[in-house]
Order: sequence, then C-alpha cells, then structure tokens
Amino acid sequence: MTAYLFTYSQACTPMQVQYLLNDSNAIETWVSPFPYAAIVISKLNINELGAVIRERLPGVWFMVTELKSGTVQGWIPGDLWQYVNDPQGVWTRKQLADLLISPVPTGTTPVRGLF
Amino acid sequence: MVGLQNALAGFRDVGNLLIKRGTVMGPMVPPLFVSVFFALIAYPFLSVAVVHGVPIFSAVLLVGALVPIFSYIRRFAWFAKHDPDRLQSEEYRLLTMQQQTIIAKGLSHPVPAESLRLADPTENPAEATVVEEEHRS
Repeated sequence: MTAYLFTYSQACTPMQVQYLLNDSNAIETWVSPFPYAAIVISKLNINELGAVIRERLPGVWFMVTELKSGTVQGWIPGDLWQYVNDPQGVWTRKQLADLLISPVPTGTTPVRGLF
Repeated sequence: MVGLQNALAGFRDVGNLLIKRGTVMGPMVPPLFVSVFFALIAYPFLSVAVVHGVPIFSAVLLVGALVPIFSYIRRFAWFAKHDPDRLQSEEYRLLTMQQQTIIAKGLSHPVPAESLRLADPTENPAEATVVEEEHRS
C-alpha cells in the first residue's frame, strides 16, 4: 500500500475528481485537505495509478508523486500525517472514520458516513 | 400613497429574498417577475380571440409566462448537478474558501476542519524521527 499526492488542474471540477476517487478500485482510500489535490492510497505502482487516472480524466493535466515517510514536510493535522507515514495502517484502521462519527464540540455539525 | 410605498417596499423585500446576490441564479430571478406579469394580464383576455374554445391570446401569454420558470428550473438543475457551489451566495463561498476544509472517501462534500476531531497541526512527526536518528548516527 503506497501513499501518493495527486494534484490536478482546474480543467476538471473537484466533484469529478471526487467521483473518480470514490468509484475507482485502483484507489483504496483518500483524503483531500487542500484544493485541487488529494492524498491517495493505492496498491498500484505510480505508473499504473497514473494510467488509471489518465484514462478516467482524459485531457486533464495532473501529477502523481509518491509520498515516502521522511521525505515530506509541512503543517497539517497529526491524523493526516498517518496517510503519508503509515498508509497500510490507515487503510487497516479506517483512519478518520472514528473522527467523523464521534461526538463533535457544541456549535459544529456532526459528520457521518465516511467509509 | 402610503399603501403604494408599502407595496413597493414589499416588492423590494421579496426581490432581496429571491435574488441571492452573487449566485448564478441571480440574473434568472427578474424574468420570474415577468412570468407573474404575463399570467396576470392573461386573465382579462380569457374571452378574447377564442378559437375552438381556446383563448389564443391568453394561452400565448401563459406559455410566455412558463418559459422563464422552466429556464430557471433547467439552469438550477444543471448547476445542482455540475457545480453546486455556484448556487451559494458570494459571501458563503468566500467564507468557505477561507476555511480549512477536508473531504475524504465516503463524504459527499467538504466539511470544515473544526467539525472533525482532528489533532492539532504539526510538522511531519516521521521527519523529526529521521532527523533524530541522523544526529545519533
């Protein structure tokens, strides 16, 4: 299981990409904390994954790059670093699922339905 | 005179309510008033130009009144399917653009990060481990 950063142009809408990511068997799970980008976890190698996306989003510019633990730096919630550092564990534990179905602080909207 | 002013104020309030400023549907709202106007003036002509029991003039006006309504529904449906964000007001879109939002597998739309029990933002913890190991060696 490998984590990839998938970035794409605005030639397609986030909804189109969302549909692709949810619908494709090539992608085990994904999370998108940034616009026009997503961290995707897949069993495929980078060439196979690129080919799948190219086929599903014809004509759209995009890049896929492998995220290896220790070669990525940034500033995101700790839970999301697990996608980069432990993709297998994220897939096994259904990362984020607990966060979304657990009670949330007063004044915010509870979210259900992940995974 | 006061009644007229109240009526005009009422129209203005209804207009403000209907026209969500900055949405793609805004320009489609004024033609809806034309629909109401056409429908109203069709009524007095129900007995004019009746052919085979059909008041032609009124029928044409009613068809004309339906065109903006169908156009509005068609446009709304298109954006609801392809780009629902543009049905939101400009203020709302600006607000959501400035928020940290997250979308993930199984979610139908982005949710504000505050609505999730996410840990605080950090640097990559694995990176810190790697640096520490390099120092040790």
